[in-house]
Amino acid sequence: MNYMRKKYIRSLKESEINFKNLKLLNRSVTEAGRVTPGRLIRTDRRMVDRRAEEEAPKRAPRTLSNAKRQKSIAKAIKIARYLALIPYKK
Amino acid sequence: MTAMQETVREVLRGRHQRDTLVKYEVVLIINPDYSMAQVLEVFQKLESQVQSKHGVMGHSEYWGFRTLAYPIHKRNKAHYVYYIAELNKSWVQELERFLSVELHGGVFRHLILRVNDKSLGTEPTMLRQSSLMDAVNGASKTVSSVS
Repeated sequence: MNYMRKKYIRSLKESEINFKNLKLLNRSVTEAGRVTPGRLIRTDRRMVDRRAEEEAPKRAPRTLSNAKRQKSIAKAIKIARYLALIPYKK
Repeated sequence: MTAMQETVREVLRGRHQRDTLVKYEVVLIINPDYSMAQVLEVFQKLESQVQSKHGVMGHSEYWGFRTLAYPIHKRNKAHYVYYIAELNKSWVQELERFLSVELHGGVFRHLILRVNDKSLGTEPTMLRQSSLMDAVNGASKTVSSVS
């Protein structure tokens, strides 16, 4: 299954999944402009909120599950498409 | 009465919802034929709307005269303005109506999004090119130097 290699995205903070983060969004989209499926997006497992770290340093770092992450990326892509920051189709 | 008891009373009277301000971020896509002065006018109209409803304006940013990913109203570029406003929930619909009806020729698209992230207002966004006032002043400076 080499037609779509896994895309590696560096470690993400939850607050960074945003419709404004075009660098992330452009990497989560295929060449045709479609959203890449979740199993092909790879990120570092740790995604900690900066605030949570400061307030309770003893707590184990939270990780975001793949489903939640994929949903928030997809939602951000759809907002960015409406705002013409990303095309619907190339 | 403690503060807790007071808030409970206010909630029961429905006042809590009416008075709390929620942060929203607003993105506007403005007609490319508008000069910077007109863009500023649009922004100031919105500012006065927000303030007349006892809201608070946060930062504003100018994301530049960007090329659009697909043509909107047959144009390929447009001004992007972004700002954060704190409003009461019930006024959001009115603001949207204002944006779509009264600013019809100027604002092509608008989006009002609720912000849950508290750290959002403090740092500049990734797409920020300059603040709105700088962009307007920059444009007017070049005009005056030409004349």
